[in-house]
Amino acid sequence: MSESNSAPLTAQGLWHTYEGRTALRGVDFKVEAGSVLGLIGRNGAGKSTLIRALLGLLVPSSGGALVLGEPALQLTDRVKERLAYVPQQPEAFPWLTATQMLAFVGRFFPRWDDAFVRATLSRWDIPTGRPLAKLSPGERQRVELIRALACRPDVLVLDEPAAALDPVARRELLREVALRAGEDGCTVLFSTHIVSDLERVASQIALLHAGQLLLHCALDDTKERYARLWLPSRHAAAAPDAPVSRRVHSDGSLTLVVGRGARGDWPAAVQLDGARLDALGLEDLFVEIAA
Amino acid sequence: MNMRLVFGLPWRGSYRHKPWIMAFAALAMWSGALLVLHMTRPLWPAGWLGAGVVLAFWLAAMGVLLGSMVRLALEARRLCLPGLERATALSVCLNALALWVVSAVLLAVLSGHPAPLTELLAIGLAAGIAYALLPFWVVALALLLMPLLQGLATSLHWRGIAPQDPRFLEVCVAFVTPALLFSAWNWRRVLQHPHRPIGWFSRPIMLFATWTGRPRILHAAPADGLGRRPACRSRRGCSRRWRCTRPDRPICCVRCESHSAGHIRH
Repeated sequence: MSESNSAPLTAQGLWHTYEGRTALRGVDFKVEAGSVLGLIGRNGAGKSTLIRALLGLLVPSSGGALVLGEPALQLTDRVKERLAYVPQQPEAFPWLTATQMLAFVGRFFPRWDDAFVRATLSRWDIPTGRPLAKLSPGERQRVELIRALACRPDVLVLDEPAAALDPVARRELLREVALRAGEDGCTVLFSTHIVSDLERVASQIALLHAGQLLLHCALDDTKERYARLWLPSRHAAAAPDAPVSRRVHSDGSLTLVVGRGARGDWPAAVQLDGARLDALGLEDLFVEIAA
Repeated sequence: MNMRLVFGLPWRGSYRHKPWIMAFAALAMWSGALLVLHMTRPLWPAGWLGAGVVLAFWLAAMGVLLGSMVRLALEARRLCLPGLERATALSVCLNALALWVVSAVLLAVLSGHPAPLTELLAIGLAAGIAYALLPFWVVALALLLMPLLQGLATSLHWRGIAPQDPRFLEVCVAFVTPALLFSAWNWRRVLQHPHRPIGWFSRPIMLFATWTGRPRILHAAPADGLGRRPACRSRRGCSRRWRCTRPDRPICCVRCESHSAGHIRH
């Protein structure tokens, strides 16, 4: 597949099983060039596994992934030079100091931005004389982010990048991500379970729940396309066939998350007597689906 | 690929005092070897062998160091860094070759016994690399099969062969070839699944290493709900703090909550 007609990141029917537990269930999706895709899901939903499978860091049980048009399991250096990845646990090179690590890693990237490294180390107040093993998790996370951003990537993949950051650092990171996507056209995929982070920078969201991709759409569309439908128990049998999520209450009534059909209309059950349709904010949508 | 960078990887990719320690070790071992060579020459005709053994031990230590570069390659794989993984493998091969050739030539020129010393140094270097890279089960298997290996050595008339013996070459080849092939296989195996936990029984010895005194298992399971990462760095400290929490002691509860928040590993 040529790069010109493919998305920078593509997952094709990814299934993966760890020790008898299925972590990914046939995930298919694409991250469009220049978009910022927020991958949201609860802890254990399979976000990190999906990211690793997308980058070829684990061999999926079935299915495959493409990065910039190349099979993820056989990435060439040409593609790796355009890709930056920050794992969930920033544990790399613990024996080096931040300056040593960045100088060392920078030698392998043709577009390495030394000025950005110096300025950001100073701006983010990172101790440069101590080995990385002795920095706090937040400081190490920031060093990893500097490494990822300094190579001027075309594709930036961040696995819960804000998890160890304080609110100030988180804002700075999100600003940087938005800048890179807006000005450099960098494609960003980041996983998180912090909805407010998504709302700040993501242009697209993908919701992963129990290894399944339940929705994938533009962030602005979520309010328009999805809503919460409550049906009294007497209409339970008339519930739409394939809702995004379905919860049965003790009195037999149903709460469903439903989406508009191909023609933009809501399911017919919305018209039923006593049925109630509520608009959902992103956080409510997440909670309704993932709870 | 930049050859200076490739040759310098064991230095650049290691902690900052390592180059000095390595330089000091090289100086000490070479001085020791030359001293043995010089002092024993009038008294013991096979004194050169002592110098060879000293340098074989030094090369074994260098082999361990080169083998431990699998950690660097693993970091490169885990972070999708371009070129570093291949450069690391190349660096191990080239540095091992250079160390072996230079040491063998120098010692051979000084002692006048090129063949046995070259073989002895090759055994030392291969032993070091294999020590760093072979998984536990190979070591365990070798120990269990020791009587069988001794029997094999006897039947091949290898027992008691001194380095001066022409058949020492056979012993050298029989040890060095499988040790290096097995090490290369295990290097590749470790890197194939950088995030998959490897059981202690099949983990290479060098991956049990610690940095800055804190045990660090490089193949820790992923923490996305399927892993086994501890939520608290010091479980004893956590439980001790939490013991004081009760509904009638809200301040203690709040303190404990804020303390332990700093220990949660995300």
